[in-house]
Amino acid sequence: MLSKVYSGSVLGIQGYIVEVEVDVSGGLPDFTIVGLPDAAIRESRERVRAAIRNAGWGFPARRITVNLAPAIIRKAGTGFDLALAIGILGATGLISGPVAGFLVVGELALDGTVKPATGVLCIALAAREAGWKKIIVPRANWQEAAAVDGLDVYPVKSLREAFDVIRGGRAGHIIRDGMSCKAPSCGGFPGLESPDTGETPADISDVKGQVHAKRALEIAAAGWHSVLLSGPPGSGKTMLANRLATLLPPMTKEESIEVTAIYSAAGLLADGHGLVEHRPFRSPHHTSSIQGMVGGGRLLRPGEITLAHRGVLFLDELPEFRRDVLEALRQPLESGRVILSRAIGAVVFPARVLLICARNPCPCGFLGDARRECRCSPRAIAAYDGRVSGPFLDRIDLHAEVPGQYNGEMTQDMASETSGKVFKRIMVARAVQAERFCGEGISFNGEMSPSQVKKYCHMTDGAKSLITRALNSLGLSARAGARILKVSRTIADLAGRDVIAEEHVAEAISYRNPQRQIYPP
Amino acid sequence: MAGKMALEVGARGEEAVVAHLESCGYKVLCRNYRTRRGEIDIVALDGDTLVFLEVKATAAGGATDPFERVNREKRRRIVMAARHYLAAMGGAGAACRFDAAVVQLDRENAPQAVTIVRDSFSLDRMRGAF
Repeated sequence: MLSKVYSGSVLGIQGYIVEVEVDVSGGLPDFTIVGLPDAAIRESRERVRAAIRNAGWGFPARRITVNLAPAIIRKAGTGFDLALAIGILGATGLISGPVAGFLVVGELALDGTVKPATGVLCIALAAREAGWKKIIVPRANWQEAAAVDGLDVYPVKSLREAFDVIRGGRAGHIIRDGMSCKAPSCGGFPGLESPDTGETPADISDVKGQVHAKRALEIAAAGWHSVLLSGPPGSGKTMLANRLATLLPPMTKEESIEVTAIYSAAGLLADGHGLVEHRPFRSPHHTSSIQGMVGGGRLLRPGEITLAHRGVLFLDELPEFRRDVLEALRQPLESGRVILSRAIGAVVFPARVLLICARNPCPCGFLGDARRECRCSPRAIAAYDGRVSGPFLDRIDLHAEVPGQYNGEMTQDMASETSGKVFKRIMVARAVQAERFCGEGISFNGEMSPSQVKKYCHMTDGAKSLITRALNSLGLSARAGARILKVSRTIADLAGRDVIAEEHVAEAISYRNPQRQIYPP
Repeated sequence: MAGKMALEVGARGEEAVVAHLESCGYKVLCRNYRTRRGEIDIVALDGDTLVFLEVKATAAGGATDPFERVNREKRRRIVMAARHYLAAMGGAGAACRFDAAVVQLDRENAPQAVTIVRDSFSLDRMRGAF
């Protein structure tokens, strides 16, 4: 007998629906899976066999053939187990009538319990797209699936439960539009609220002084501009960068779903975790490989730049990163996405990150310092400078100095602004941008395309002439010019101005690659 | 046990299994089906399922698990013989099963008890054996 069950899998972060056809026929007992399964799926035969037996049914001593369609996509992962088991039960006549109507996702343990699967959110999104209404998911993943509106989610913790749901017997718990509609016979459903992390957030006022750098972070957070912090060791670069997260506006639901889909597909979402609510903050070590940064590998996993999507990618000790790694980041930083083309297909990973980098001005770290003398040779400084390519630095909007602090600046109780106060200004600028880019498909000044720059960056005549002079005298590229304009736009927004004035452009230019002028090669 | 003695013990074991099967409602079709590439101890019909049985005897107090002796090579020979049987009898589409029968012997090598293990293996566990 033939039965059909629908399940799903993920390629990159894109979910797709997989038809699981199960044929049970006479002949010598056998169990084959076709349709480009990977090793994990072939092993699922053993899990399914044991799970069916231990759930109390007999495993049919028949010739079982399973086809995973579309057969041209190489399938990976363990999320088909449950669908396979349901398909076998269906084909042996235990489930009368069609199994259609349910999308089934879940990994099986040998005892018949359903274990969490990766990419449930991605599959749920694809399911809604394809017009599915009901999805059976592992209990541990229900919050992911429930984030997708318009899907009835049936969380199950065992093969037996899934079987009952499909047979229409005890429905267990249904979650409709994020709300638990429990069947009358069942008890409460705990954990509907998202788990509280309970961390006390850091605050930008933890860093004393450094007004210039803090202003750069404010502009960065307000308009989504990249930052490079440069200064001697111990001046607070890393502390500042870590506090950038406290200045970022909260994610919208769409952004939150995008980010959660990435973490779901990468298997980085903790069990029972719903939508990711905080913007990610990724700080990869400088020994990271290209694959680790932009993604790739046999299974096309997302890299750090994708894991930091809609959040912060912090590259501490920038010159220590491998040059080829930084070069590989250039194109994704510009386009906001990574396209990886491999034998198993091409995938697109989103990569709209707020890039923040930190570096020392020279190998010893004290070049240009007020107190300590630099011990580096000019040659060593030039070599250190050359580790990060010009094109990469050109893509950084805000270059800020973080000087070492002396004269008791640290102990002095300076009236440092708290994150909350700065955040308020940022939210005002954010609201202006939201109104401006309504329907444009972007949300920040930093994401403007050249045509949008032309459309939205109105300047006074003084500002225009200043930027022309600056481009000529500093020998800046056209891209640098456009970036200065975007930053000016954000500074004007923070000041509550509609038209960009000279002072806004001047401030934007002051953040442009200053060390090239301060330190001669 | 060796030689003639072993054969005799085996035959008595099979006798016991056949008796057991018939009491369980199986219809024994054939015993000691031999081909060049393999052999089957008993072929029986359980309802409409064709059952290929391998008989194993275990001595009183014998420590070794009798199923361990139905090893990969033995399974391969059983499958070969089963295919041959199906081809010869024209039963290609029939539902089939591989069972194992374990005969417990007492000190005089007389059969004491018979255990049937249904569906003891299937082809997918022996990839590469053919």
